[in-house]
Amino acid sequence: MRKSLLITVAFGAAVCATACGNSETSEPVKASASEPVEATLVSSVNQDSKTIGLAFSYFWYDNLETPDDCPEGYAYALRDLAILGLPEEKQKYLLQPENRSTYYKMGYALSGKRMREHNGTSICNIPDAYDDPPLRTVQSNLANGRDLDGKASSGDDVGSCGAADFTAPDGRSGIDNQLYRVMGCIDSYRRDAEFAGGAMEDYHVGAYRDGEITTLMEIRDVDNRMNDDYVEVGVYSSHEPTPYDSEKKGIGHASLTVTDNTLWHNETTGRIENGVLITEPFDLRLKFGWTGRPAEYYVKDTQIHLNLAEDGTAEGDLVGYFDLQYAYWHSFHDEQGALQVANGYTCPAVWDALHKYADGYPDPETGKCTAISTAMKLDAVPAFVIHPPKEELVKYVLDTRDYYGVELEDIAVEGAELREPKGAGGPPAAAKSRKNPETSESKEE
Amino acid sequence: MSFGRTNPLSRRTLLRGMFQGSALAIGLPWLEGMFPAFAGTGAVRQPPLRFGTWFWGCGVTPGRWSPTLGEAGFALQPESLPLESIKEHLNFLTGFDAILDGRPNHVHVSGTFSLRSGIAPLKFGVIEGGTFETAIADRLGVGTRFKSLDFTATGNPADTYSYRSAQVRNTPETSARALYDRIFAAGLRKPGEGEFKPDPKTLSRISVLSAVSEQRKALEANLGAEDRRRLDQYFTSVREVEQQLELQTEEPVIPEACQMPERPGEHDANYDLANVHENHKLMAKLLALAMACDQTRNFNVVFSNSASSLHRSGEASSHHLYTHEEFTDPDVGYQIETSKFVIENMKGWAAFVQALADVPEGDGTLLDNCLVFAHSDTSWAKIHAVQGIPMMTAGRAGGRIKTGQVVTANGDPITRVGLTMQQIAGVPIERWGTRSMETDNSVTQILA
Amino acid sequence: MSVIRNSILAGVAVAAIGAGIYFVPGLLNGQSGPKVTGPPPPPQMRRMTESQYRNSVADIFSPEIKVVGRFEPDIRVDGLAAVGASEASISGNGYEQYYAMAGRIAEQVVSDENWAKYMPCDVPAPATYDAACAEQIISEYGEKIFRRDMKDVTLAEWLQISELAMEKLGNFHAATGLVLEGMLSSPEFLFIMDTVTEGEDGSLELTGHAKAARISYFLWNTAPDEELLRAASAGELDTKDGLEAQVDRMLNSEHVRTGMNAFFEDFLHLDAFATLEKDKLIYPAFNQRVSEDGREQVLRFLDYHLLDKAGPYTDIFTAKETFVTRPLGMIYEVPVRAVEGWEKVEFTEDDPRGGLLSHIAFSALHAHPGRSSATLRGIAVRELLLCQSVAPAPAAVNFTVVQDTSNPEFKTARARLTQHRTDDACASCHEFIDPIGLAMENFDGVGRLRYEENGAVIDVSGAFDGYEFDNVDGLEETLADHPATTSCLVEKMQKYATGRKPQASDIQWINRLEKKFSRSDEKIIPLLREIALSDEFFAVSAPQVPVPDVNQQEAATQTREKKS
Repeated sequence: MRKSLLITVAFGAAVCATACGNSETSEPVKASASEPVEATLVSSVNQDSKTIGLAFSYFWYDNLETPDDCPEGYAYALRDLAILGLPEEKQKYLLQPENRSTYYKMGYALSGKRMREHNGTSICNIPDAYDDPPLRTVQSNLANGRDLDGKASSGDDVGSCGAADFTAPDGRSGIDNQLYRVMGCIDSYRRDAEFAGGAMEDYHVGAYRDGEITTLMEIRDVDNRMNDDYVEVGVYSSHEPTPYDSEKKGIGHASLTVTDNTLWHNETTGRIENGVLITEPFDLRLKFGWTGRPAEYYVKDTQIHLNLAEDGTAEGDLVGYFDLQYAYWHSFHDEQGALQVANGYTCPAVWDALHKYADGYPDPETGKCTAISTAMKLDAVPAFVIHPPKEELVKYVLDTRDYYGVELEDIAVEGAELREPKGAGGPPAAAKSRKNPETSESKEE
Repeated sequence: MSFGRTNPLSRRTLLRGMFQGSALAIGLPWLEGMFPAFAGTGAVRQPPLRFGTWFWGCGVTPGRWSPTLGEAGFALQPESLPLESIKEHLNFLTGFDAILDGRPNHVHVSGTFSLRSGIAPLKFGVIEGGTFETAIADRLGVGTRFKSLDFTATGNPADTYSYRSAQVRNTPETSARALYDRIFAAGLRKPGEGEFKPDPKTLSRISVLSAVSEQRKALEANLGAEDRRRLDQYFTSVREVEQQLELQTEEPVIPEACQMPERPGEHDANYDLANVHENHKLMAKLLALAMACDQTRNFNVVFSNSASSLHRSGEASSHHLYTHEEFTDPDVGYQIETSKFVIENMKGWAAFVQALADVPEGDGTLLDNCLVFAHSDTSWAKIHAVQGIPMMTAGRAGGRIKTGQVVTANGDPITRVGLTMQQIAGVPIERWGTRSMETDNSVTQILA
Repeated sequence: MSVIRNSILAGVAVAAIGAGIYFVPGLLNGQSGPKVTGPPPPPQMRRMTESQYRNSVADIFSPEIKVVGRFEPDIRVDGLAAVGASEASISGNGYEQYYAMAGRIAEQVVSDENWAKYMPCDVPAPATYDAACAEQIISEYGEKIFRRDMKDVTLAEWLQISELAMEKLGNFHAATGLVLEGMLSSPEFLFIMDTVTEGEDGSLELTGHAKAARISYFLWNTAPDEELLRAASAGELDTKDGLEAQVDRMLNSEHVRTGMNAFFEDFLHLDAFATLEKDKLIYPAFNQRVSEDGREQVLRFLDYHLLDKAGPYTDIFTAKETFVTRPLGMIYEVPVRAVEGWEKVEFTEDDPRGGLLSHIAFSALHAHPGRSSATLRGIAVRELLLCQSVAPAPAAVNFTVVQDTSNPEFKTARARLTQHRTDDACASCHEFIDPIGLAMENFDGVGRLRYEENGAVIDVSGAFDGYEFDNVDGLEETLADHPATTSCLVEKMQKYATGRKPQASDIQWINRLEKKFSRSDEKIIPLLREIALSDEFFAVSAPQVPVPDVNQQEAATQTREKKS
């Protein structure tokens, strides 16, 4: 080990000359630091900074909201399906604000009925069990995002499985963001919607603020922060909380340790053009659970565009093809049925829509697409990315077979052991509701 | 072994009385289980400290509850406005976070138990340690008839957040009648009819202190005039403590306020808002009387449950469902119905505090000698946020704390508050909480 | 307005280089010739500080015994709480706290689970009284708690108390608990009181135990350990060799860190951390953890340079290595690999950080909640580090310009203070203070490094006491060279050790200490040794005010009347 490690701190940015981590010299120190290891050499003046560290402070779908997205209205939740069969007069009556509680109650009753019909199994685990009306999806041609496949598909190309591309508000064509088409008319995925407007975004961002999830990024080998034709990029999950201030803004310059699970370590390369980082496509896997969900991001062909601001913060977008199954689990799976009542969709309808609009990674045998294009926005604050010692690294995949009702082959990853998902498992109320669904009013979500 | 303030039962005289045909053993008030470690000395017997929690579910609406600080103290916001009449008794504790360290945010659970047990639960429904108010009850409740009196205004005995250990939870009373029967069914002995024997330990203490005082002459011999004055001040202080101990050896007097209440009738007990208010009001009064008669010094009150099931008569949507289902009104920028429920919870809190303030005690009221700690399970229930969970205290804890403070922490661990409550109550504890929530820093801003 | 120098020695060189208008020579400075003498001070009575109390309980019983309660706040006299301790008493409210703490400690010590751990003997059944066992407990613990020989009348007194308690409680453990509670509530525990013997010539002398207490609280900030008490009982502390052996043993122990930390906490006013608040919106990274760690950081820093590396005192100004935790890393904006605990960082030569002044314990402690303060920092350097005194600002001062950090005309603190100094009433004082503080403007209100304020480059050059410098490094080098820096340390250390203001009889002693300090390359341990081995450290004489021949109460009253 060298005597000291030169760390250069450029103003505003968290940058390290020889990397704050990722090398043998930068393993985290154990708690008993009464005998501190060799000093880290720090200079504020030397601008020869090589590494930029970041912690995500905001990460959410880049959903465009215009009045023309959903001409037929928003997608049906279970509460809507529950009243669909009623005469129109009765429906109108129930939709009035003063009768809304009955309307919701009917949704919960339907949710309970469905679970009871399948011995308490979550309907999201068996989405083919019901033929719900097709999900209402985005009908406009405008969407945020990027052209992932270099084609402006009008719905006839096989590689995209027939999904028609969008045009960006700024006129760029060939925008691949079919996940937006699926979620864009679900009220909880919009901000402007009545009922659950803003709910999902708040959950996602809230999970970062509460310290439930942390995502780190590291740009290494940076010779020039404005223009550099080769940099290395890592994106990692962390179990340590990103600090936020009392106004709920991310605070910079925290040291945060990368998770020991290499499944959630992602490496790629990229370049910086006029202060914007552009990564080469890579497959991204990150831990993501809000309110205890054992969810993950699994996005193939991920590209990140990140505007590196002078003060060390960064903002940009992340695009790619979300693995279809993970997209479903991550964004829509609902163990107890309450999400589908309150948040404007049903699992059967979403499941079908995801398959209908999947536009990437066609299965070589069936020709069906197995991933769906997406676009997300992200903000990040400067951070010091600390890597765990190599000997502590493990590779595991969460054993979600029971949770999602799937087989080992659906979740297995080569070289990764199975681990029980920490903290997953439904609240007692859910178990109760399975036995006696009528009284399941006190849903936990 | 019998030494220690943890077991002063020996000095408590039990009065045996007959009422309605059944025997009742009832402890007399004002015998301190521990030395009163608080300000306000002199030859006046200090009423004991009482501690309790008051819980409401589903938090508050961001921006509509936390008082703002102005030139003339703090200004309440729409959701805290029901507290106007009692605000002089309150402290607001804001900006303290449950820090999960990557553990899941189990909805309506992680916040409450991070706050109460100092541990963010890993598994849903698995509480990993006892809650702090039981440690306080162990300290303050020694020798009173009930270590703690707990009730929920919701009629559901499962609505409790007080855990003696990871496995054992305290079951609350669910109706005013049951609470009454438990405390008063056998009647209340009037003062003056018992035989009083001073605690031998207190008597011993007094003799030890006078022996300490006798060393004075020998100590003074080598001191200069200035140091003699300092020593003199010291012995004056010793004398004050002696006088307090002496008071404890005199026969106590049951205060006027300790009166036998009427037996309440049967009431519907459920989540219906009107019933909750009514039951809560009746039980708060009984609890206040029970404390005036020193039957207990600890309590846990649940006004509404975690994931508040409060609902208005005839409406199927509960407070909790509104938090998730109700749209944010674009004109006003918040969930209107949800906010109304927060206001109802605050009305309940105001009524509770008032019930304690209505009981005279010493030169002030029962409330003055209480430390009531109120909190919820989340801050913004819509997304179950556990940052900045709303918390308050009421009462001056017998002069141990200030009131009228608004403390805004900057994302400090929420365990600082639990630590502070325990320390005010005299629990010998220096550090509390786990992982990022381990702290030895009490919230000194509210200490007197 | 004037600046009064109340240090008795440290400022001679300063006055000589032309800053004399700011100094009124100390009372004793004007005296000519080296032969300044007077009678030694009377026996002392120092109230234990919170840390002394905590350390003592941990060392007398065990660190496992919890000490919970609120302590009487320290009084600072002559810049040191150690001196204030000789003037403080215990109020009624305070005594309630001490009494309750004593009870809680005793309760833990005699609890069933702990009895065997702490007690040298036991009784077959709780209801039996064993006088021999009681005597053993009382003499062992009494000696430690009272720091005195128990062989005299004291033992009998406490035995009597023990018997009395047994009579009333009928339980030996409970009775013993009450005895310990009584001891811990006694003035002889709560105050460190000198016990004296009279020599053949009638002069007073500290007892061996009193010497042991002085040495122990000075070097280790805690009660004397068994070995020191043994030496005291054996009369070894009265011989040069015996005293040297004990002092050297203690200086070679790890416990000397505890002692040095206590000195530097007092020296640097680190108790101010307890109430340090910063604006949450301006400095979001500052929180309770930063505050706690900032306090510990400077102590680790001082330990490292002065004890581990045994460098000269002035190294702390030019040092480049210090220690950080993750919360501190957010202020320093440096990576910290350790999830918990401390990590060493070394700043490069061109980085202005590393020295004492760059620590949060200096830069953030001497600043406002929402901005830095050149004035507060300048005063802190003058008063804390150079033992020079600055008089408070006159009442009718207009601070508007200084406080408005958003005034586009005055972007930096220097610009604002320059404007303020045009006011004659302020000029003289600020010329004395500000150049020092302005050199520290590269550290904002929480000590975060910055080179610009409101877009303007911060000018950190300046001069004071005839030295010129370009930046904070230069300022720190200046402090390292400044003669008042080392003389101030010696003077404060002497005051800290004795717990009183220097007296006429101390002048020669301090002069000697300074010379020796300089000869031992300004190293701390030799200074501690020199003080602890000095005859002056133990010298006492009879109190100058004779005891009035009236009863105590009247005496006290009369004293008060005379004073008022």
